[in-house]
Amino acid sequence: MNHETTLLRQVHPDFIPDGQLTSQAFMPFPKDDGQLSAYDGDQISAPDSYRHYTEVLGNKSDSVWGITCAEVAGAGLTSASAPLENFPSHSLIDFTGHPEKNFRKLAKKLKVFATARGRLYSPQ
Amino acid sequence: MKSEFLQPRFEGPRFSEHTLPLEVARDLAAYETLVVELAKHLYIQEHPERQRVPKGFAADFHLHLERVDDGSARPLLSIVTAGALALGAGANIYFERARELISACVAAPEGQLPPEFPRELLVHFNQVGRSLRADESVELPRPGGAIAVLTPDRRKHLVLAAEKVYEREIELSGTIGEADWEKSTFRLRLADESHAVVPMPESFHAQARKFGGRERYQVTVKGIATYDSWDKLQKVISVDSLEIQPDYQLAARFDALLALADGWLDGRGIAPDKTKLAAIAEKMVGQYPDQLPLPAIAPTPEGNLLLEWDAPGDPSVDLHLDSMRAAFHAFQPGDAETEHEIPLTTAASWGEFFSFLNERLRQRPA
Repeated sequence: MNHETTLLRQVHPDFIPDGQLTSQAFMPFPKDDGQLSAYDGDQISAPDSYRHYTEVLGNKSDSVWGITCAEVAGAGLTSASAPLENFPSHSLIDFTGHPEKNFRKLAKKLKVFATARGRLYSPQ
Repeated sequence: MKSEFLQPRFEGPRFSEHTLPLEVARDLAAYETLVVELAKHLYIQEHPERQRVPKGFAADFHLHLERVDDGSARPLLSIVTAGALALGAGANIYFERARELISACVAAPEGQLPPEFPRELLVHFNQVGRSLRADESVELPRPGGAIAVLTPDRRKHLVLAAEKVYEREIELSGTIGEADWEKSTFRLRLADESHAVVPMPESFHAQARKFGGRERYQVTVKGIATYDSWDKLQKVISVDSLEIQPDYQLAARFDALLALADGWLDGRGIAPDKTKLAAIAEKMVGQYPDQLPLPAIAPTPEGNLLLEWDAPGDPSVDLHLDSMRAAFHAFQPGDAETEHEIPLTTAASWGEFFSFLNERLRQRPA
């Protein structure tokens, strides 16, 4: 992973109502201790990440959106590879350096970058 | 006096309880009309010296719904007469032949309609079977134990064998465009950007004036329309009901949120409290100011709501359902930000909330 690496984020259908991406797609889940999971775009393509997320992990995804590591850093966050067993492309965006009350603002900054780049993959 | 005439079998989910929806009764009434018209035609064909059927030919022909038997729903239609038919047993023959000919017509292979069935009577299939849905059919018994199956598709083809368009029930939703008060019609703009001219009763004129041209007010039209053989809408010919839904996009979104259950987020995620959600929907649907852009509304895993606008500064509101506290945030030029909290615990506070949004939200330049 380097600054140009695109981190791929799967967006749950409820986080993109009527096709409008919301920052909820970039908020860490409450039990994830301020860590936001993503796919390392250097290791897996957007369509393959979608298939892995929906077919192997059995989760719902409307579409795949991306932000670069440089953009993550620009938002004041850090990112790192975090491979899991049978999931080598797993990576994390770390919010823990910020108070939880600021998570929304940070998620919105990530959403702005992702929206500017546009949807990377959608099965429709 | 009564005698059994026909016992069709209705198949489909609506008939699984061995009951007959009242709207289907209209189809049976239309069937009765077709039998009478066809019987008259058959009589004239056999009596070329006559211009019309004898007076009272069909006066005593009345089909009654005697009962509904099981499997799935089999209404028994009987002829009930006060006395002997006008032509005695002779007239009965024409009604019975009409019954058999209708079944033969329904059962006929494509393009091979019975020559005795007059093409001008095929238009009656606009009404006969019109209430059938895509997964439903009606079986008409034929001599020798055979059956004729009338489906929505078969009905369509029977009408189109004689006409350029066929009729079917509609439920169309769109926004009200311009109205023609003299003709008492309005233009219904549909989601696919096509439109339909819809007749309206005078009682709807006030609503058409009020909601015409307002994109957030959706009207749902139920009635009858004509379609061509490619199932392209041609004309709305009658309207049974017109219903206005204010802020229909918001209403649809709240409906979707109300349908969420715990675990909605891939096994995680608390569903928003339905009572509070319904109360919020009531405050927003129909009250949300027309001039403000609509928010995208997302649930959060904690059971709260996020409202986010595609507007300069990426404004958002985190609405905490437990406290009914709305936390507004927007970026400002440079590193500045706007943050503001509004408690939404009173009716007046919603007005303040909308006023605040009115001051803060701007449309993104096109």
